[in-house]
Amino acid sequence: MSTAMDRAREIELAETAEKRARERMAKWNSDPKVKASVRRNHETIREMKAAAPAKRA
Amino acid sequence: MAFVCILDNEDAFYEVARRGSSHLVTINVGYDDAEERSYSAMVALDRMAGGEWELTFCLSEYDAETDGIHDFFRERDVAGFIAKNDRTLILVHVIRAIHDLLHSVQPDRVYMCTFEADLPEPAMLKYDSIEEMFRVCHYAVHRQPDHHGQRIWWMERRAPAIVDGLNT
Repeated sequence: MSTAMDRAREIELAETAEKRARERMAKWNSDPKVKASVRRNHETIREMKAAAPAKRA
Repeated sequence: MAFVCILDNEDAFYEVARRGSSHLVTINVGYDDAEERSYSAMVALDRMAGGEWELTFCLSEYDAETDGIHDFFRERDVAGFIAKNDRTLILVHVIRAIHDLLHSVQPDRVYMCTFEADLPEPAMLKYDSIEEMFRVCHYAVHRQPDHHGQRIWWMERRAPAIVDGLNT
């Protein structure tokens, strides 16, 4: 990346990076497969939490 | 509330989602011991309009009561409720996910930058680790001049012949 045009592009990308990341992740989060994945993760954790006292008993 | 980390240095539960050429790795990292909330590290590799790729990572909080997801992108927000040792463990798995993504997607050129200006050195350590993983995966890492304190990188995949050492 050495030309002025390249530099202008990487600066533009830097200035809009957080907005782009938030929009991108919001899109991923609304993806049914991703939503199902985090729900599954939550269920796995719920089962772990439920099993923990039994293990200690 | 207190964050409980479920990770160790061994394997973690990873899931990969695809949308077009974009990839997302979800890593189950922990939960809130008082609320119905669980946490995942998200690592995304997405293609930009110019054809280059961009690496994004964040911590996502799933609230089972609202079925909503909230993303944390800033270190200081995460540091408010996750201890340093646990953040280090999460980083270990994020780096592994980046390794897996680079091997499976093989992007030619990847852009990365910090969102915040003038991050303190401790906050930059994770970027040092990411840089190193790119090098391990046979990428040339080009750190560009900062832009108002934001750090910028381009990572470029080396030619296959060099990667494989066939020309030596």
